Amino acid sequence: MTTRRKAYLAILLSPGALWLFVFFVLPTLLILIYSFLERRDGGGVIWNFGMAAYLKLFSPTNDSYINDFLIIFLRSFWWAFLTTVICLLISYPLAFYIARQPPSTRSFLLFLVMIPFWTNFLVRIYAWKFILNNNGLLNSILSAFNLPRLALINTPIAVLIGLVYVSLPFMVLPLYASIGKLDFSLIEAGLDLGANYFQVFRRIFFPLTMPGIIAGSVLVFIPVAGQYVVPTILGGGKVAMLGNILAQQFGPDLNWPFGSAISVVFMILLMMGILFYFRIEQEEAI
Amino acid sequence: MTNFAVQLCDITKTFPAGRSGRNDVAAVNHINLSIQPGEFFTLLGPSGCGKTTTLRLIAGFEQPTQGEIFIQNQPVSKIPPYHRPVNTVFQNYALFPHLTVGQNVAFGLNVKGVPRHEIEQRVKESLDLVRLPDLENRKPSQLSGGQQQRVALARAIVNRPSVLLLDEPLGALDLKLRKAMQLELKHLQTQLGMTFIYVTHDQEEALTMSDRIAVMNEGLVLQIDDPVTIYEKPATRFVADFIGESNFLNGNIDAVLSDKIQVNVAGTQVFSYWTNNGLKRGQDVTLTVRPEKLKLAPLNGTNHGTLIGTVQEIVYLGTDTRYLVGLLSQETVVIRVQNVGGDRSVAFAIGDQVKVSWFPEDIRTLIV
Repeated sequence: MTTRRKAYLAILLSPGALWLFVFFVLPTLLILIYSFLERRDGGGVIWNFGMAAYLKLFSPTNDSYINDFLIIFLRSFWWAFLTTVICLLISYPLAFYIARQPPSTRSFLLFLVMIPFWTNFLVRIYAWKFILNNNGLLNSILSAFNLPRLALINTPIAVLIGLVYVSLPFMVLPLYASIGKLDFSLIEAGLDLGANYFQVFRRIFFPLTMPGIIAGSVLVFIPVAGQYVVPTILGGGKVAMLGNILAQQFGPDLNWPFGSAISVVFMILLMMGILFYFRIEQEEAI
Repeated sequence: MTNFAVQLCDITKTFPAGRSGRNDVAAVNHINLSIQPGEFFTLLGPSGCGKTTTLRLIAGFEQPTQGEIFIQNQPVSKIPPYHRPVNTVFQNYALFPHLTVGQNVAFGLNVKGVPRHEIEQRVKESLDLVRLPDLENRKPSQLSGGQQQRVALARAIVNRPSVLLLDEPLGALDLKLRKAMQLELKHLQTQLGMTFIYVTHDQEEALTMSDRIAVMNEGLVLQIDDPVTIYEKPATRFVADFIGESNFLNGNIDAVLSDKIQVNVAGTQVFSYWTNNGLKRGQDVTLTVRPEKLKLAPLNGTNHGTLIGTVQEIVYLGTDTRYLVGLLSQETVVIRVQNVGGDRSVAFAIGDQVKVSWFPEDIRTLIV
């Protein structure tokens, strides 16, 4: 009986396992291996194992290119962090409001949150470019009211607006799931015991919705840290993020080992961050 | 001015009708209550009668549409729930799932900034009081329903509120545990000398624990009295019917005497002592009498104040036997007879002609 069940389990799991192996495990291994190889002019790698790529990444040098690279590295994490915080501040009240609506209104509002997914990602970002352009929609409206124009396009603010915009649904949905599960009579219990609204939020609501906050933050932070399209289009190449640097290594610079090394370091840092996050979550759950 | 724990003066609470398009619904309709300090006061009524709304008005979760509530003689309309000197034991307990039992109980003291050593001591005391020591570090999900109920109780009383509000706190417990908790709650209330305002739909529970009961129906308070008066002298037909079992006999007043009235019930003369003034000859009245106050006798000779009928149903209940007797007037009455005669207690059979009698002071007059 048990062997039969195991056989069924193996059959059911094999498509997923195969998919993961071919499209996740193998490419990751490939990148890991490439990062220890040498660059070949005109693309590809030379099969000589070494640490050249990592040394280039970590050696203190006056090479302005490398300094740029470190700045971009830090900037990517900083912006991912900012995006996560802004998304959280916007999404929490929104998810709370949605969760408090009657069921029919609730599904309609959730539908509105998800509607942007129906339009191509690139099209949406280009739409933002037209909104934020110097002669774009926003500035047309501003000048119609005789207000000063804003030079937003190709600035960090434009990139941040774009990053928040693309990430918002990924924060709203997990937050909604976790707020919707909450027993709202706990608010009354808190008020009854002498806690004001702020204390009720801090001591009851916030810790109980922590799983949603963590899930949403992870879903926002990771893709944003590696974003390529948004900084390219809204930053106009002037405000690069990690994604841009990676594209440069595999594209114009044709330095595959160095690009791989960046990927590996990036992955390790993100994994450390996620593990730290889940540790917090587990401590909350105890 | 008399010192009241809680006073409700002409309180009305209406809720918007919502999408149904009907008029606003008055959950509570012009009610007045004065609750003494240290009293065990029960709001009793069927679901939707407004008893929970009344409790929520006192707690501050709802605002009255009209009228004023006083807690310890202070008007509280403008005071938010977190500043009122009351605490609530919720029907579903509403324990904080992410906190331990000890943290749950300490919650109210923590937000008030009570010193830590005092918190520890008071948490221990109140957990001892509800007989739940040694569980401080458990999570609520690891407790049984009865234990959760005690934690909810401890979490409220640890704050030493002047009034404790209890919203059907025993509703989710099984019968045996509920019975035990009823007595325990009553002991606790006496021991603490705290004012309890208790909401229930269970009339037996209300009779067991209360000093006074307010019977509510459809947003109105029908009668406020001690359990004995509520049971023995119900003011309205609803009260008589809702609390315990009652028989109702419709009749017409034949004569109003100095201390009683003579009523014609389907051709039989029946006497009833009454306290309501203003009854007149020829007026329709309903008489009510409890099943255990009725006596059954074999049919031989006729007496005043007796009705003739046929036994239609016999239910043996152990301590007593319940007879359903069909009267000549087509009405039926229920009679409970204590089984004091051993195995010869059930003296009648279905189809027997019987005489139903009572003491005149046991039958009450309700105005139709």
